[in-house]
Amino acid sequence: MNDEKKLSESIEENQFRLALWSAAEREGRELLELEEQIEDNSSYQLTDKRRATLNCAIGRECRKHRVHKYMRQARNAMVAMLVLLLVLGGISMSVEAIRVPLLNFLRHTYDTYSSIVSDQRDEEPSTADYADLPIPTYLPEGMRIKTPPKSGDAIKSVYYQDQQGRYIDYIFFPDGNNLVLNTEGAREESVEIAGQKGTIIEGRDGLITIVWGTVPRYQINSDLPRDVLLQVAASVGIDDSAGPGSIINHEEGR
Amino acid sequence: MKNKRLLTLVPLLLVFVLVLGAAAAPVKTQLQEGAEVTPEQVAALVDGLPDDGSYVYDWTTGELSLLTAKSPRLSYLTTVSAGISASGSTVKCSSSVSIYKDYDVDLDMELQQSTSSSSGFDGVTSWYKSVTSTGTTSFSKSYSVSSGYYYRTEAVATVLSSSGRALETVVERSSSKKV
Repeated sequence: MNDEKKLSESIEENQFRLALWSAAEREGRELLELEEQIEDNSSYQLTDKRRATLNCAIGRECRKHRVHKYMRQARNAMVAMLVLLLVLGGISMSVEAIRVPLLNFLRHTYDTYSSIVSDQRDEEPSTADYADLPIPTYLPEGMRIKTPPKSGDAIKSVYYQDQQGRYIDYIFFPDGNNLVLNTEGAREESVEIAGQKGTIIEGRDGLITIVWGTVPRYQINSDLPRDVLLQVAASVGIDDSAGPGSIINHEEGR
Repeated sequence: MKNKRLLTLVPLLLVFVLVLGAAAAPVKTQLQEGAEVTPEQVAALVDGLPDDGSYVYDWTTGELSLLTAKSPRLSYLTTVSAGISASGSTVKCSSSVSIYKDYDVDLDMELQQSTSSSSGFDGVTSWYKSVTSTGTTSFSKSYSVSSGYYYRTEAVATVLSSSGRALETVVERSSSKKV
């Protein structure tokens, strides 16, 4: 019984295989016929133009693929370089010998290229800066500011002038600068101004200089009489609106 | 043979020493009438000065004087100042000139560094300003420095005549500051 069943299954299997082979053979034959037809029929043949277009399209795709590949590589390289630069930059900035000249170079570049600076006094932008500057509250009648103190300068100076051309040049040295003063042929005298030791120098050419204080240090150069200048010096930084002479309006005369 | 070589070497050595001496010597020569002083001459003059004190050099007479409190002898300038302040590792150098006559002034400011507070100062960086107006002109510059050194400002003001001839050079130095 079992043998019959096995035989029957084997026959069925062989019949199935035979059917498959027949179908494959038929399909192969059809394909061969189709190939012969295609080869014989010129309408199935690619023209030179179509072949060229096809080659071109294939080439374009290839190039696109290549470009994408290069771009990917370039992007990876850039990321790697950026990481390397950051690491090197971090190391450099932690080394003082590199950091100091670099910061100074940047500061110099900023100073040089971020503003226009003119050496001509009259052409300088009027960026007057009276911050932290003690100024004389007493000035003789008619004195007006010709040159205000400039912002950014460590040493502040205010140049006052009247209509007759007489002047008072007031200079404030917050860091107590060392000074060389011209005392050739001059009369020097020690004075006390607002409780601080000072010197008054009366030059041969009528120029009077008063210097007082250490840090900060104050100086007045002028061609006015000494008594007037001593009064001006004594008024520096003092709010004495009831004092003699005119109270200067620092917004005028610029 | 040995003597011959020695005879050749001695004059050569003499010439070498003379050339070296001339190059190292400070500017002492008087300028010819109308001659213009070069920045190199001023730099050589300043380099040859002792490390402390203020100096004035008269280019007309070739006379160099140490300026002390009792004998400041300036002919053209009224005041030259030099100052320095420090904040952290940044120093601020400042200098000024006051002049009330019609001359041009070249104002050079140099930041100097030393391991000692009073000597052996070397230039770190320098700035320049041309002053063409009467009154007081100042300028100040900030600079990042290395810590552990003494710093000072050196101001060199050279007065020029209207024809550009140097008349007077004044050198003033600030007190030193440790950073």
